[in-house]
Amino acid sequence: MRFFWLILGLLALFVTSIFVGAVDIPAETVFGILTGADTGNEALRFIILGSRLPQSLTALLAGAGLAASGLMMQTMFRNPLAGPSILGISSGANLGVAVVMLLLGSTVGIGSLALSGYISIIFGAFLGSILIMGILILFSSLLRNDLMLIITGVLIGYLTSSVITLLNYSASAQGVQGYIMWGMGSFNSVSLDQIPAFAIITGIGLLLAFILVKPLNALLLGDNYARNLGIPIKTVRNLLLLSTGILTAVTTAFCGPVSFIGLAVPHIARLIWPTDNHRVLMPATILIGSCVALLCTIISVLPSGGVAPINAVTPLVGVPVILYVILKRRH
Amino acid sequence: MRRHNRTIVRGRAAIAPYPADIRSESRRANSLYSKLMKFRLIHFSLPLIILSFLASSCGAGGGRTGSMPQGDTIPMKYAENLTMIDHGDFVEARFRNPWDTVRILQTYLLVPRDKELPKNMPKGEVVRVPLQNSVVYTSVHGSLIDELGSLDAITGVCDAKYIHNQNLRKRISDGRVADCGESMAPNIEKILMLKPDAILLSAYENSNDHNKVGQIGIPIIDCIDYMETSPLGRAEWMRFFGRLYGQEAKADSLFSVTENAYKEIKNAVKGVQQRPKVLTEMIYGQTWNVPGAYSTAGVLIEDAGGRNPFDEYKRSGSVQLAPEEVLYRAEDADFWLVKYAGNGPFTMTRMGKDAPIYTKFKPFKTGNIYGLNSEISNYFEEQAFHPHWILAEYVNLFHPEVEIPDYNHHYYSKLQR
Repeated sequence: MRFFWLILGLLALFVTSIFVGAVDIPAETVFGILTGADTGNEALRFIILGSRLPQSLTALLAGAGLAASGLMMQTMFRNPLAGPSILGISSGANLGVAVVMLLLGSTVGIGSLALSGYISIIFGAFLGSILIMGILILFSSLLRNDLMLIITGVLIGYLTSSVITLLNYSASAQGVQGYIMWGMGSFNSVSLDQIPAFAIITGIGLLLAFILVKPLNALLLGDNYARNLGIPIKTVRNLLLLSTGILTAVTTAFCGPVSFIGLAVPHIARLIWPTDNHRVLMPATILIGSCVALLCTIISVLPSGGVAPINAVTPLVGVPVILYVILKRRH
Repeated sequence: MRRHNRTIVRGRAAIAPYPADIRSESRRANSLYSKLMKFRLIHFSLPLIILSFLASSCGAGGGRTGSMPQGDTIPMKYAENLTMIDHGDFVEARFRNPWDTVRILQTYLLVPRDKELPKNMPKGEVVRVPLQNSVVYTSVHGSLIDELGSLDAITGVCDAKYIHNQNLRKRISDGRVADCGESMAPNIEKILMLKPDAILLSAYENSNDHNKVGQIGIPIIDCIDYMETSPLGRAEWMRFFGRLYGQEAKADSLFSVTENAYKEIKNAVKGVQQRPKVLTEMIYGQTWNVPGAYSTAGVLIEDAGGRNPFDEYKRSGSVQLAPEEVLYRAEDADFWLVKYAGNGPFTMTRMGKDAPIYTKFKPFKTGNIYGLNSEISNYFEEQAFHPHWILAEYVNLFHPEVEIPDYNHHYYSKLQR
């Protein structure tokens, strides 16, 4: 029943995000455009079909991907504060993108890249995030302390940002501009013809996440217990690494670094379903992730006719949740 | 064009001692002061003295004792943030804070270097003029100084890679002008070695608070001319720079040439029936910066007989809009002027790939998109102090039927498909 309401809420948010935007378009016009009844105004048609629809689809996919990778990381590291942005995995992806865009030299904006350019950016983001994940896994086997791991993640974040600053210093003005624009984070830079590629890669990552539901449940009980259950720990860890790497990398490459969704959403799911069973948590997290991303997109439309960067909005949702988790753990 | 004719106020200082530090003066004192000026015109001298006492005492801590030398205000027609007073043996230049217009950002006292420091000078930064050894951060001012004939007075620059001025470039490669690094992170040691008389830099809001270069004891000239809203307002600042480099006659006459040419071109298109709708710039990040009604870009479009689709935003700066909002308001634009950077060819096809929304604007279909490569073009160096050149280009684009004399500075060219 709760899933029914969640899906209904997701649909409602998706529709709202298409009806609400910087330009006030009457609901019947939006409806007419969506159903294919020609309203004769090309600008409005483009706003709905060329701008808002891909943006909503991007938010849907990015929210799902980030939230799922957040859940997997929290289980893998046995740390409720794990998430792509806190542990430095996003900054690893940033570093990968910075190397591609600043060192190897790409064009003005990510939107202007040819498919080969896109693939190199996704590949860069993927390598960067996998590298950091690998380091973190190594450290997590050495340090049996949650807090130390988080500190390691934060340190890695500093390290990558210092490398990025150096890269920025030596890059061309054009490259720097492109990188800054990408770094602002946006669900609006993916065009309709790029959506299939984005959806397929996210789909692969999510599929892996669903396959890993059972081992994730076993991991909760501890490595030894999981091994006794016949779970190949090493393979599972590698697959988790692959899945979170793919999901973080593809979202970061297409949308820029989007903060807090991966960290906060699994906790919202646990609030609604007080369970540790990933069979429930995984689909719930994915659905809520999409909902939160869509909600942030709707909120980011400013009354002045401008649009706030998505990273200015996600902390509004993320930070209260994290504070709640920290306070709850205190007791 | 908003005009701000300033009347010459002779001997004002003698009647109303002007608070040396206006920073602490309240708005109330300011309005009192303007009332006071009106009174003075009808020679109510006795109440005036009383009122002036009140006005100066309102500026807590800012009042000065003792008399101040008289001075003639050098009239400014367009510049809103610049006031210059000729005191005879020195020129006092007051920069109004453009971010907080009831305050004064800086007061410079330009004293000829061959004269002794006058007594009873108002509070302010003393700068010995003409400058002979200066570090200039921006190529805009470097080019102006070249045009005024004082290139020898530049010994250091910043952001050398963005300088287009050939004379300056040559001197940098000869080693006669030092490259002092990036303007945001200048090489302080190199600047210190040059022992400059002054440093000209583009000040931004609160930049003085955390500017290391301001702590080394060299006078900093905060070039806030770019904050002027009207094109002629910014150009008028050349009269200050002229005085800084001992080229006041040249600067004054250059400005009057600019002013007359600008007004002539503006008048030529005053009565045009068709005013084409002009879209500018492109998406940056998630927003599109469009010119407000009173912004420099907006005023230039209107003065060139065009129509700014965003003139209902009665603002002097730019307005950040969502791209869909821009499409909604300017889909039917007649012209589209874009600035881009980079070495590769910038074509309409590439624009369409950058953001599919671009293809929905009318100029994309008619081909009326004109581009300017800011990495190659002299536009940014020239337009600040020669707004009539860009105005001429605009008129030539929007109203080719109108004849413009001396139109020979070309910046924009039609983009290829």
